Amino acid sequence: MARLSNGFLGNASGKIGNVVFARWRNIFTARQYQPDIQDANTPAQQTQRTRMMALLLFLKPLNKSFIRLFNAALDKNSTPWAVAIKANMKGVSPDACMPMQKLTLGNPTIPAVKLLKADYDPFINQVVLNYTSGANYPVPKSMPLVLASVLGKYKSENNQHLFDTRNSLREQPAGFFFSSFTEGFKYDNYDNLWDAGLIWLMFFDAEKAIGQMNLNENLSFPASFVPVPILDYFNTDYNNDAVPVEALSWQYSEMPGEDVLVFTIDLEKTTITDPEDAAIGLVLVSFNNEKFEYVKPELWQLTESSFSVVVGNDKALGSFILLYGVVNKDMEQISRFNRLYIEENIDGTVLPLFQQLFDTAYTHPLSFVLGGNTCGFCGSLDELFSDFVSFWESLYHKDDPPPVPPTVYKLSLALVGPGDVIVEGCEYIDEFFYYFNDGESAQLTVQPDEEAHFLEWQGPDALDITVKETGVYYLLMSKDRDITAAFELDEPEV
Amino acid sequence: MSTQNKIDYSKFKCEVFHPDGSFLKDARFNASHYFYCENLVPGNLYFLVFSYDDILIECMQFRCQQAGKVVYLYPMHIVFNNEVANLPPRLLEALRPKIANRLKYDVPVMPWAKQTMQNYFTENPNYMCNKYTISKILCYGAGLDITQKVK
Repeated sequence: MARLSNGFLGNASGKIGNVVFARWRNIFTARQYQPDIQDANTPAQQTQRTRMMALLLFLKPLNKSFIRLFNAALDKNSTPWAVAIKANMKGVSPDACMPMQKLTLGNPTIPAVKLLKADYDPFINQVVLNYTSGANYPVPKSMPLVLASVLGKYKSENNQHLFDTRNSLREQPAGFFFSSFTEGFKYDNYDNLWDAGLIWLMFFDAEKAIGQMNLNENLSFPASFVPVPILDYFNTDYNNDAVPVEALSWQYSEMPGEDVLVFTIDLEKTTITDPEDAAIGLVLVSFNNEKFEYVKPELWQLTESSFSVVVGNDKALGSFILLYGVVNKDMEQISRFNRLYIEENIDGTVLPLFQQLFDTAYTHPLSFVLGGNTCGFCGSLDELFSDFVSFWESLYHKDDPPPVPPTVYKLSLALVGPGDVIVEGCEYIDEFFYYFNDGESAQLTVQPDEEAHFLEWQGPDALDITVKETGVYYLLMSKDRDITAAFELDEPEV
Repeated sequence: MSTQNKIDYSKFKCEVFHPDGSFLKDARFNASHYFYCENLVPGNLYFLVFSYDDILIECMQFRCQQAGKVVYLYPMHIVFNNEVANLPPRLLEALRPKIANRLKYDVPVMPWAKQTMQNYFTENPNYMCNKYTISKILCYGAGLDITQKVK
């Protein structure tokens, strides 16, 4: 196939003789007409076609999201999809397998970050990644802006590739990634538990803040990870829900010196047929007094219709998340994991989940997805105001008393009539007042307009003004002052 | 061993005001020195006033367009939002004691505020507040989804 850079036949399109002219994305091409195609279908061709099919199946779910995001700006004479096919064909193995860590997108130039931690927290359905970018990265030393792209891949079923593409581009704290989760505590939702994932980082600096940012500039190679649940035995392998959340109820029980949470089960709302062959394994995390704490796991034999968990002597003043699964006599799991937020404390006070998670610093508040038509903000004092902290701590030393600011008095000056007053000696001014340090004097120079003269000082502090010389006055600033300079027009000569 | 006194983080405040100068609420703080505020209305403008022991540190004007989002305010977010504005007169009046304290202690302008001013004034050379004076309190934009600036 020939590429015709300027289209020597104009905008020719179609067949002339045995040459076919065509135009694709402003590229004019000519190729030989092939009326009969002999498909040899050799083993090598079959392998290649199988590999291509595997690649297409893998990339297709990413076409409108990650592929478009990373590849759109790479080649103006091609499509993001075509760039992705070309870049990833080499990652497909001869047996037509496309491992996720072989995925190539964009034009990364920075080495992949080193992952220190990849945890999944089933209590709040959150993935937390912790990474270090190493010493040789072009990460701005101060005020880094880090954008993260995280692609999660769920367990494949029936050779279908299922991805979580919701985190295509997110602002995140340097060194971390927190996946988002909602407050509405839908108990069957563990959609942030991925089988594997990739994280790309983009680093920007402050001087390039004006205008558009190029995603492929300072883009890191992807780092692969496998999220590990913080509870060893947590899984999403079971779909059946033998003990739905609706079958459980709870209340606090008052016992001297101990707070007790009592759970009750309504077996009619369950699919448990033999309570002797079923038990609930439960784990609680408490949020109380600005701290969170995991309560020791318990096993509740369902021959008992209620079960008490001692949570300590003051934890019931807070709230809890309960995570539970169902096992049989042989301790084999027979039902899915569910979770429940116990939002009321022992006093009956409702404690909203996000406030509790924030107050106890359980996770980063930027990961909260607020309900209703609301939004919010969060941040760190240490990130925003570290310079203020340094400034304040440099003001005084341990044995010194706290710094006392100098006493400052303000001068209010009003003008009546045609003239102006020049004020000197002040520390600073704003739209309303002149500010003087205690004991300083304000020097006031009156300047009447032409055919006008200064009449007198008025106001509550006028009597304290002293004359220095003609047209120049002093006022000792020993307190806040309020004066008015009065001018009047000269009388016309007769 | 350092003999410097530590700052008392309990004296930090983040107050949220309406544009008319009326007080809305305080943000929450936790032991990790993070602040958090929820239940704001997307699209509405709010003014955030950060202070320490009644000393004004910096102000921000906050507008988030995305329902459900908790916007993470950090130095580069402010720089990339690239907005500088004057405080509304009524809010300025309400903050006068805090501003006076800031001037008394000669509190430095935060580096991200300086960088934002520098970038903004480069882009808007005729903007009225480019004559920055010590007594002039500016506020810096926040809330824009800066991932939209990435191509």
